[in-house]
Amino acid sequence: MKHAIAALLLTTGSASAAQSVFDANQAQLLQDGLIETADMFILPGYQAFAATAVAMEETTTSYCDGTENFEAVETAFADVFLAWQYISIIQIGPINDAEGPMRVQLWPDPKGFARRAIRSAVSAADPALLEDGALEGHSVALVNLTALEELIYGDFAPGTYACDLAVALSANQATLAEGLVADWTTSDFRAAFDTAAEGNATYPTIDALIRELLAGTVVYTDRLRKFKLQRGLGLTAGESRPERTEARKSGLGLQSIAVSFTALRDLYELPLGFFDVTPDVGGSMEYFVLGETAASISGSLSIERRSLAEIAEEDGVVAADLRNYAELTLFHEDYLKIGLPASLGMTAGFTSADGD
Amino acid sequence: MGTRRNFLRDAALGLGIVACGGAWAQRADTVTYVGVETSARGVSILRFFDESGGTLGRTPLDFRAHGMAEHGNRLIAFPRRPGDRFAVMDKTSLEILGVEVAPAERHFYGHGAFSRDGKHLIVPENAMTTLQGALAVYETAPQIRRLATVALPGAGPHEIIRAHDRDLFYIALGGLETHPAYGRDPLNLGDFRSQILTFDLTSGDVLQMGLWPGSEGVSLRHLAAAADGRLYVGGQIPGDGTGAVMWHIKDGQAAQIDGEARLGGYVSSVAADGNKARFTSKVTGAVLTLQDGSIIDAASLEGASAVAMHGGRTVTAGFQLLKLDDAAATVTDGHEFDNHGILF
Repeated sequence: MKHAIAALLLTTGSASAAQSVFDANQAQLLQDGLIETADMFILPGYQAFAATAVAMEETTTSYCDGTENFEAVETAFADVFLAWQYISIIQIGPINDAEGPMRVQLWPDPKGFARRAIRSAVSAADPALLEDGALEGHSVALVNLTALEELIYGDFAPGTYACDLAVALSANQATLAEGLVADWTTSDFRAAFDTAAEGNATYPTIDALIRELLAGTVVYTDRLRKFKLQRGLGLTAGESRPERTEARKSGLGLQSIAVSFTALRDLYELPLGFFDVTPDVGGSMEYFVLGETAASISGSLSIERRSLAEIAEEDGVVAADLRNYAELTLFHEDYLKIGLPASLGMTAGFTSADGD
Repeated sequence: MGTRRNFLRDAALGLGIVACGGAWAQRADTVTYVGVETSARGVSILRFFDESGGTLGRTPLDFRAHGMAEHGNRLIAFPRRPGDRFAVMDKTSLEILGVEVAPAERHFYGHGAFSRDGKHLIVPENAMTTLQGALAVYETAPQIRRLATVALPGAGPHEIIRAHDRDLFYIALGGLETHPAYGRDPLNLGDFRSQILTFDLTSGDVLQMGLWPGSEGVSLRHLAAAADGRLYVGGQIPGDGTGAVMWHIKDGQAAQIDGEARLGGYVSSVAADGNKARFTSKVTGAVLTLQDGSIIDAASLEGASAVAMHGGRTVTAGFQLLKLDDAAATVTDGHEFDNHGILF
């Protein structure tokens, strides 16, 4: 019997094609769900990111011209920062090009790469850095949103080099975001995404696409737990470190957590989206329960007016609640890593993420 | 009261090893192969097989294991990057004898190798203050003890293997700077170069074998030395790239091995025995067998990862299935076979 299993799974021959666990009808159903997810969740998410990045560029330009106030810059930064937190749940496709998602946000940044890059650039005040497209391909430490936050919450007055650099950084993010929108609208990648059920060079089977989508979502939930929640709050009372919370200068750390839970809910519960069609091929309804739980957490956080750093400083009841939310994300990881793939009859392949 | 959080904290503190070190272990004089099985929670067990693929025992670890090294009765299980401790085990009792922890601001890369006499253990590591690679040199008797650190000319050392006939070690220097605080993402993706180094334990000399065209943008990770003098090299292309990831080096000359299209820009593991070698890719499931540097067979196994060859025997594992010559075994429930294993 063992030999029979081996013969079945270790197939020899140069032309051995990748095999899907799904029949043609199931694969098409899942493909339709994935396309719906791309059209109704991923693309709108990137469009929101692009629109807020463009608004950030425009608002910062006006501020630097002296025709807009700083509160408008703060609002614009919050919009683009949170738009990214939402859509960064998608970690497949063009976002992985070049230096990957770090081009948008390099955080945590315990070494202070972003801070040092900003200080160095402001000190050098090189006008060439402000030219159109000059930041493209530049060090991620300088171009990402953590650097932009460092800039606008530092010595940031109209008419300064720092102000002009903030405009350039915003413009660079807008260009990047618009590129993502274009790539998810029409591109070789999008064509490969849309035809995974038929098999192509990028996705030999729809299984490969599903596995990659799930792996990216696992990374997102892992970051939510370890970085956004536990890094600043610790595992138990007394371990809080307010200075380690995300986006401390802008005070957006708690909203970042709330948006992350909202993104999980929206991705799971998108009507006729990928997760929503999985019950038709053997998947459970667990995604709905997890989505509702995530929405409940997001709703609870939305009424909190203190910043994450302030909550960590006090280390009280809300901090304890947030630590419990971190524990709850493990149920998402279990579902994404094992529960869903197993219910679909897929090998999870969770050991294949992140190389080595 | 034991809560879920307390359990996780205990595991994180290494108490899991104390509690479970011998729980599943049995005496095993006939271990042929040791594989790594990893759970979705990211912790591994070592599973010991006899020559017919039967399970002799399982030893749980409290970290995700990657590569292994053995000498005599000692077996070392190294942690996957950026793990900061490795387990020292007794190969017969299957029990953990101790855990060696990296110094502050350093972590290991998942591999290590013994000297010929087993008196030294060489372990690649990351100096997190500089993000540059290094080799930690340990003496192994009477206790594992760190003796020295050897700086390497670059970042990201990964697999290290020893030449068959002397204490000359080959190191795949992946070239990618990483720091665990930034996750596993490379910090110098736009500007890195990978190469193969040698380390002479007797003289302490580290030499560079040189760069070769076509390896730009590839992080060289895995190595195997064949008896015919060939050094096989497997690389990984960061991101979703494809291209050449297989080479062999003979008489100082690197030659690309065709067949990269089958590997999806990713080599999981490389092994060699006699004049044969095998490359695997988790990405595509490809299992490529070579003889004298040329591909002689291409097979497919879902999640093809660990491969080991020794004394005419071959083990290849995918996510779910392990094949030891003609015998087969399926993975423990809730786990997947991970990238490496070791044949005795």
